[in-house]
Amino acid sequence: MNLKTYLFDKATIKSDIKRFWWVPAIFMLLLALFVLPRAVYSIDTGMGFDINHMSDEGFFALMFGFFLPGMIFSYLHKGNAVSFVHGMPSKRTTIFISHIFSGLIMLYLPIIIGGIVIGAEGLYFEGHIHYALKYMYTCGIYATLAFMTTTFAMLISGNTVAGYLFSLGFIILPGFAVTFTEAILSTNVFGFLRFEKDIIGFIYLTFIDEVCTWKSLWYIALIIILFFVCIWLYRIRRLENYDEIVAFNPLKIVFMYTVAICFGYFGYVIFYDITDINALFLAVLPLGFAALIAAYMLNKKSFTFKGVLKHMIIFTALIAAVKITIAYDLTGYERRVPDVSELASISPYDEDADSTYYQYYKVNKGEAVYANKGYLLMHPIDVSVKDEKTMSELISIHKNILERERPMFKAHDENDNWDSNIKLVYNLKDGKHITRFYRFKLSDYDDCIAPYYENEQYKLAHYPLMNGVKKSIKYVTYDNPVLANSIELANIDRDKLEEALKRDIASLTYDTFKEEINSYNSGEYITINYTEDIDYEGRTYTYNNSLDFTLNREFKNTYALISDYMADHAGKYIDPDDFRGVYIAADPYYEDYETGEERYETEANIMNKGEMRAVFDALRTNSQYIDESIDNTEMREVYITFTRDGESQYGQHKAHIFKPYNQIPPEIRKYLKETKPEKTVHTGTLG
Amino acid sequence: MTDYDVMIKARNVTKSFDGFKALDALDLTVRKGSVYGLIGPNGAGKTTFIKSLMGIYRTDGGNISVMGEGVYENTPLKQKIIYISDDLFFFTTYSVKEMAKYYAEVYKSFDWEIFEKLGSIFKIDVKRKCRRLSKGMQKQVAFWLGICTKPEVMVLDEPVDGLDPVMRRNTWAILLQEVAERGMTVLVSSHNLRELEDVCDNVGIMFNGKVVLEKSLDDVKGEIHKLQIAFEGGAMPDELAKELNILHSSKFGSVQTCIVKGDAEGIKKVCGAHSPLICDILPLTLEEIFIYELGGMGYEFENILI
Repeated sequence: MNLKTYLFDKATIKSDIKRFWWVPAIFMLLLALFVLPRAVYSIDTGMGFDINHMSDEGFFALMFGFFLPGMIFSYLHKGNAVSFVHGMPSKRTTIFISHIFSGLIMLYLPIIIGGIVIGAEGLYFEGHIHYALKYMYTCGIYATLAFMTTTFAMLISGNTVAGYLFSLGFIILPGFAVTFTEAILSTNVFGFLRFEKDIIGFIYLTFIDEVCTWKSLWYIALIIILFFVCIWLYRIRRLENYDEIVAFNPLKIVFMYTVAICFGYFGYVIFYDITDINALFLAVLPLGFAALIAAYMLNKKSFTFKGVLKHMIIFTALIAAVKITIAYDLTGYERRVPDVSELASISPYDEDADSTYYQYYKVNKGEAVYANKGYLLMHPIDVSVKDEKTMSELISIHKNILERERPMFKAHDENDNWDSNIKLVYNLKDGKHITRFYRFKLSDYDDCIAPYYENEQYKLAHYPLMNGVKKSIKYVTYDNPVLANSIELANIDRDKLEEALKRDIASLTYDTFKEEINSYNSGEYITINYTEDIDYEGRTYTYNNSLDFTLNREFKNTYALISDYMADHAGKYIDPDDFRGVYIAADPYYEDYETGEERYETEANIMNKGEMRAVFDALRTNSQYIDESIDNTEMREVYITFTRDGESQYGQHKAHIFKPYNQIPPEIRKYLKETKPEKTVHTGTLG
Repeated sequence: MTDYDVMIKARNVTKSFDGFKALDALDLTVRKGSVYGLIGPNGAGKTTFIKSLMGIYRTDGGNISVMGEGVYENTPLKQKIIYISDDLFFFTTYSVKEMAKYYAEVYKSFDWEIFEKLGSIFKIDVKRKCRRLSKGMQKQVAFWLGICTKPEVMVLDEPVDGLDPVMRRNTWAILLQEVAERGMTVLVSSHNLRELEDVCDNVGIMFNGKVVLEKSLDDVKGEIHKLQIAFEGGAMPDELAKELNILHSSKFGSVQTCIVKGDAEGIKKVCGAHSPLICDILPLTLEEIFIYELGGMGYEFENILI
């Protein structure tokens, strides 16, 4: 057997190219219109040649890869055409491979030409062709994968339009399935957070930098698999099934139920969004039934209901099974709390702490790290706790949450007033992981959660400063409500500062920790910008990070250092004598998004110089104040404006504090009422 | 008939579409160098059989062979077979010449000399796009290109449908010339029984997915006759009616016309014994044979007045 003639039919290849030559021609034209001129534009406008921003990054390749197979294989969907092609003396395999070959020639040719032009420009302006190679690889991968996906869709369908829709479905279905499954599980399964791996990021490699990594190997594997599956499908395809929506009878039922399930759960999510009613069974049925019947009719090519009832019953049973499994936790997922003896460690992430300390993590050196990987790198340090006492404390918190919150969750009567959340990752001795995520109101768990927050292990795990990795501090800034601007503490002893912070963190109590979380950088705070080298998956990454510390009364050592430093920099504070008055507005109770109008429970104008000075002094040292004799710890919001003429905004100085009532200095507190009103936010104007 | 004489052989062929049996244990034999007319009512399964024969459809059971070999995925064998379907297909942008080049690349035996010669008969501008030609002209092009491949077997589905009378004659003439000169075998499916009658050596009548009758045209014609008979007193004697194998009977005045199975001499002898006033035995056209044969199977002609 001559392999060349077995695999390729010259006549088929030539006829494909002769008939569809205009497809690569348009592709080429679009590249010439939209890609290459960008480089010229960049140079002409003086922006310089930036080759990284001149390409379509595979979009056109993707589009043409998507559309071309529909044209090449459209003959399968017409009775006379399929009879003509298959009446000719060629084997099915030969015909199929020849079509694929001609299709890929037509796709690759514009990519190669575009790549050569970009490469030439790259050589001329930058002295290398790296980008051109990456560009060709990206376009090639996108085009081939889209081409094989649509080919697959065209083969399983007997109708070109349906084939395109299937192809589109295959492209979006994985994302749809992951997103909706996550949405459904997080609203119905207590403790479910999200899939641990970034599945969507793994499925969809976007743009040139992601495609040009090892991850793209799975795309190549998929292309090869699709190619062989398509050959097999082409060989077994019943050619008389042209005009059918699904050309393979066993797949008709798969199509019907897939459509019904997708639309059913889509209906559920929409219904939930609109009504806020979580009806996992009933809300799935209307759109699910409609889709099931439509798919049934499409399969039958007739507006018939005969026989559909059976499938509706099966569909209902399926949905009921899902509902029962989730509602009664038949898998035991929700109630599973590992025993300490099973555990190697626990990695707890309470996102309050994360949001305070990890928010500015960025990569500034080494290989580019993308958003999906970025999440993992949020926690590059081993944050696991291993000692039995701490693990027992965490398990106890877990059990407590289960006992209190789960009944409400299952009754769809959750407490919307949550203000904290925790993610627990149990690392079992057998190498498996169990991840759970809970939202709760922190004050409801004071009794069981306090020991954990005060635990040394917790602090080690959650404060990057404590993690033992050597840090190189770049700069430290300090902010105070009465500083004209935040100032850089340029000459402060950084080692002493780091030591002081460590000691203060170690002495944080549960209450002061809560204050730290809730302060939102109001009052006085310092920002430490540093770099550190983190080992992750066998590589060392250098991170630049900024940590904010609100200097509450627990930060005594740090505060002392700052005070000493500021004693020599008193000129950086505003001078209250420069101002004519102070306006205090506290406890906003009304806010209108449209008009921007705000109303405050307390408003006061202070014109007396002595009182103004008292407010200034109170603000300057506000972080260390507490009146233990006052029980009122309600969080209060105070806006203080030092004004020059009482009217104009020119030269004003604004300060903001957000603290418990008993920590607001008496010089300011005296203007506040003891209780604050409920705050309302409006999207319309007040009547 | 020896296997050597057989060009196409189908045995026990079955093919179903969604539970509907389009071919039901079909048997069919076509002799080498003959013209075989495949006739049958609409939906009898003729096109399904032809597409199965061409290896376009895969059969569910049984086997079909051409020259002793299976056709499905048999490229060398398909080089020798040309199929011209009723519902023709040409590549959208292709002219006649471009289609000819395509055929020449696909069929190794394509003969450009024949193409030029036939060009003077069909008189179609080879630069014209095939899709722009009329249905009749497209049929001519398909036939023209098919003949140029010098096939050993030609399978035609309604080959002259849409052709004008002159072109019909030309087409049949070319076909018969190929049969006579090269011994080409032709399987032709058509509803134009009048024309088939002139060209076919054998006929097969299909009904409900089976070949219910397969004989040489001469044998078929020798087995069924139209009898016009009249008796004194008007009515045909009951004994005679029982003796004859009457498929259909009608009476106009005193003359009774019957479609009778059997050889002409035998029928004449039986009738003569009852001393008829008139007794004429006439040959049946293929169309009449078709109607009366299938009438006996429940596929009857109705005199419908609306």
